[in-house]
Amino acid sequence: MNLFQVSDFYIDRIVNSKSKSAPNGFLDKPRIKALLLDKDTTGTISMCTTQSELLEHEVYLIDTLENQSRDAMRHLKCLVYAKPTDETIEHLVKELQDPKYGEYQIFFNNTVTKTQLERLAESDDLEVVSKVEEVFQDYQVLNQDLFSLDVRSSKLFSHQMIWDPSGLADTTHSIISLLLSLKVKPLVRYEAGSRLTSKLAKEVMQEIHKNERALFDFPVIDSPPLLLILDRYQDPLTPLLQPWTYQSMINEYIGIKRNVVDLSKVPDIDDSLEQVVLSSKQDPFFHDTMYLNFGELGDKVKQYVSSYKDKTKSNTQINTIEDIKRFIGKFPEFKKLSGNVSKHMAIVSELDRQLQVQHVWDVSEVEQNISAHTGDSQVYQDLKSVLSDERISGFYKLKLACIYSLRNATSPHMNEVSATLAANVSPEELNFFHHFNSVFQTRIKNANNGKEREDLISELAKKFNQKGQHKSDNVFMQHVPDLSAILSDLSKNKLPEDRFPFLEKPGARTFCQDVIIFHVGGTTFEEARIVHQFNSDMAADAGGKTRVILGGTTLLNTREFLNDCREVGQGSAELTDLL
Amino acid sequence: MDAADSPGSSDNSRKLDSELSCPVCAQTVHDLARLNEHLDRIHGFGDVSHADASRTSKQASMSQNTVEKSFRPTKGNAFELKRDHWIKPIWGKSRCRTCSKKLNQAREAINCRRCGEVFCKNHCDLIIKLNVNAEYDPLQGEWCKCCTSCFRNRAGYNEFGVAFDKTSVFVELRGSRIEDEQLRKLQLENRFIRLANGIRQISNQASKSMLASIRKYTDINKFERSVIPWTPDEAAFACSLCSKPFTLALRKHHCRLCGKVVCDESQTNCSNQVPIMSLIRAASDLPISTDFLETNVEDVQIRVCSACVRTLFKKRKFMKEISLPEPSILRIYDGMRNTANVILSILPKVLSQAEEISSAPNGPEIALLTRMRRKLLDSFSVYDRLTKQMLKIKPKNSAEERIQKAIVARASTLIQENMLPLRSLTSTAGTKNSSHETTPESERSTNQGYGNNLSIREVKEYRNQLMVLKEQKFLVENMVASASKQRKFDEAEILNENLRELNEQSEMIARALGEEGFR
Repeated sequence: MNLFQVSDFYIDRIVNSKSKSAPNGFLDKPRIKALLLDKDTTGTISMCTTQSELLEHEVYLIDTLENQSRDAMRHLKCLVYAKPTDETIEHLVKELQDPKYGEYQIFFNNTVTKTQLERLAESDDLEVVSKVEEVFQDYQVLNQDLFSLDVRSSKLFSHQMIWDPSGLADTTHSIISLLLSLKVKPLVRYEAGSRLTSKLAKEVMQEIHKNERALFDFPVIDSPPLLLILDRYQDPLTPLLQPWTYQSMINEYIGIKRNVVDLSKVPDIDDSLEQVVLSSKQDPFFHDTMYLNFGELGDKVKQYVSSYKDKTKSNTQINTIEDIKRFIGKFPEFKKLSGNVSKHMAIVSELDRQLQVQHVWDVSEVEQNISAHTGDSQVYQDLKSVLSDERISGFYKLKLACIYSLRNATSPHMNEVSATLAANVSPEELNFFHHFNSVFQTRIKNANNGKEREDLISELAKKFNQKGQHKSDNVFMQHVPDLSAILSDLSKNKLPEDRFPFLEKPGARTFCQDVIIFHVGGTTFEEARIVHQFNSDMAADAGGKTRVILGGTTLLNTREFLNDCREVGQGSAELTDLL
Repeated sequence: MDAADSPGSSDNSRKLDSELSCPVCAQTVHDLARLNEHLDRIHGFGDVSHADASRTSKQASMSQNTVEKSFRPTKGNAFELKRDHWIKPIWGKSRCRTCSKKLNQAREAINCRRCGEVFCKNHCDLIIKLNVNAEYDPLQGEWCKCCTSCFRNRAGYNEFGVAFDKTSVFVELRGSRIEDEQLRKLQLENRFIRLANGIRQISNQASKSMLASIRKYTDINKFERSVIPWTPDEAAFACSLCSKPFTLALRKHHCRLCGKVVCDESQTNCSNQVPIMSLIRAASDLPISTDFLETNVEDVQIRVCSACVRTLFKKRKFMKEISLPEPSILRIYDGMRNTANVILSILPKVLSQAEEISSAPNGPEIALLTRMRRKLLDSFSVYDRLTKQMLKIKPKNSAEERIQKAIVARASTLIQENMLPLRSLTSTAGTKNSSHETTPESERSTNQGYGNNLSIREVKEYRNQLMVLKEQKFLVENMVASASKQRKFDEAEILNENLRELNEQSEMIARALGEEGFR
């Protein structure tokens, strides 16, 4: 269950594919290949491989299918990797009617329909297509245990609790492709009381049944894998809090899209560092530090820089031929290192700058205290002072108020909070605060009904039993996402069925060993860290008893989450009231 | 059989642990009675009512001892897990297969139910479904303890990557879809052959007799209509291709191949007058007698519509373009790839041989190594030359330009990656060489003497050094170029310094060598 392994397998399959018989019999010898991608697969490919890796496989020309002004290169073999949408099929049809290359091998990243295939077949009167294959990778791999569909919530839901039909279909297909790429035919569980997850669970199950014979024909395994579909809006707290680990901080303060970090807005940045690539697969330093918190990260960066300096020193002392030889031997490595050091230095110093400029230290401490200590009067005082602090931006004030209302919905201070907020933020933001409350108050009430059934003692026992639940001393990381408790339950095979019902309850008692957790509405890097921690603990202590992969419709930072809440809810507030 | 082996006491011992949990599925239960009930209910212990042949007491396999036989009176059909494959531990000597912990007593040890190896309790904590013969059986089996490797080797545990080949479906679809088109093409081809041959005949006759030459065009016209009957003018109101209605300005024309009425608008290009010779040349594979020397059909043109031209000539044109000679970039690239293959195949051999020699030097092997090294260096220089040639080509279009850049980028990484290991090699081989080269031949040449008083051995040594330096120089030059391209001037400066020193060194050696340097 390593997503990088899966993607390597697929990429290798694409770039090294051999056609059984070249259709026109002219391209029998291996030769330079061109790779055509569409806008979806460009993301997938760019996150799993590098240009130099592709060059090694003789892929010397990479272009997009959408680009109409490509030059004809009749002597090249063309690999097409595309998502089977009607739009790309039309592009392909055009391409085949007037082929630019000598031979085509077409790979789709998901199931292609019969009609689409017919449309292609019709247009291929020159018989240039020598291969059509479905591979299954309709998702983006971020870490070896984290994937994202990279779709914003506003495109998926017509309302916070109702799927947009096309959004639902796309999400279902993407999940199916993930299941196929991992060769799992899972049991499906969803979150009770969430329409979004139950609907998606049903769709996925239906799709599995539909393709049972043709695709989901895997060897039976004694402990069937599990697909657990969770609802982001059941744990709104996690995406609201300021994150403190490297990968998630980059996403929060600078932004990382398809492994590319855009530093162009950073003042006085070097030209070469305006856009840097950050991948846990190719960058060993990032691989080691992505889950560290900011303090630990600082130490690591310091070490990294000093080791770099040592190397530079040894490089400047060149007196003999031997030195030169040694230097040249090390040079490419050295060059790589120097690039990497300056990259990480730039990112970390930008993070630090942002923390200072936006006064995140103060904000984060207060919000962590709110989330960890319900009903503490000191916390309330802190909140009030931050709300009236002029240096802090309206966004953070709004967010703090939202967090407070999530944790202390029935608090007598609520009116006062909203009054203080009103005095300090714009009317739109205040409006949103009320909207946010109306959405989540109802949800919390619903959720509490289920939770109240657990008596006090079992609650207590749970608290003691949950490993990794131990409160950290770090004041900035007090909050533990709900996912942590879910994982711990999963590993003990005690995930409560009333909260997470099966779609089709298995006859015999089962143990979940392979779990795919999917967050409808987006997941966070903070949760990815928890999953990673869980996986490595499991591998170390329990022989890899349970393996978990986390995914979401997108990866959220706090701003995106609040925007999603705003956009998705717009124009349908009345409906929420009805529910 | 001591008491500790009985299921009851085994449970007792568990109770001493912090929590009481089912030994099979690790579910926690509150007390012993519950555990018994749980074992009976969930794992089918003593469950007679719906027990099938294989379903039976797992108690025995549950207890931790490895040597005892199940003595528990079993009810109904007994499920007895095969045990003769279990390895008997020797207390105080056997070690856990995973952590190598010494196992001192029965309580610490456990056999993996599947492979039978002995483990400490921590490293045999996973569960797997086994049948009576201790084979993995996901459907009928019962949950048993197993070790990590048995757990991981279950079928389907580490599988991934479904891919579904749709080529045959596609080819079938394509076959049925383009069948009509193929038929139409065949029909048009036949018509075209008849037309061409007929016109040739008429022209032949025309060249022979005066009368026929006057009638030539009327004859051709008549003949054309016999090949394909024309759609009557009255029936056509609009061009059959672009659907534009005919007017006085937009005249009606007939395609000589399909007989349909089309316009000849220059914008839409619905039909054109094409010299028949160029059509025949474009379809040279068709059985049309090309013996036109005596005839003059050069001036004969026929009107063809764009649809027919496409059907007849699209594929021919495509195939013709493919059979054109490759662009020079691709030709040179072929050479580069072959050279790269040679390099990549020789290099590991050379390196391993060099390692062998450095540990145990002997004559013939060194000679072999030197030969291989020479070949390798030659390949590198060929590769380098080809890369330079590649750089000189002027790309015809932007695609070629991008390919060219990509190839050069790949080439420079290949050289950097593979010439570096060679660097360490040259030094070892170089010293070894010089110390061993005292063949009679070289003695003789020493006697012949060199102008600058160098022994053959010294010459060789210097040459070797010079070669190393040249390699280094080449590398550094490459690096300087790329560094300054990436605007990393601090690096470039360090490198330039290096380069200067290298130059000095090589000049010194070259001077020392004098005429014996590389020519």
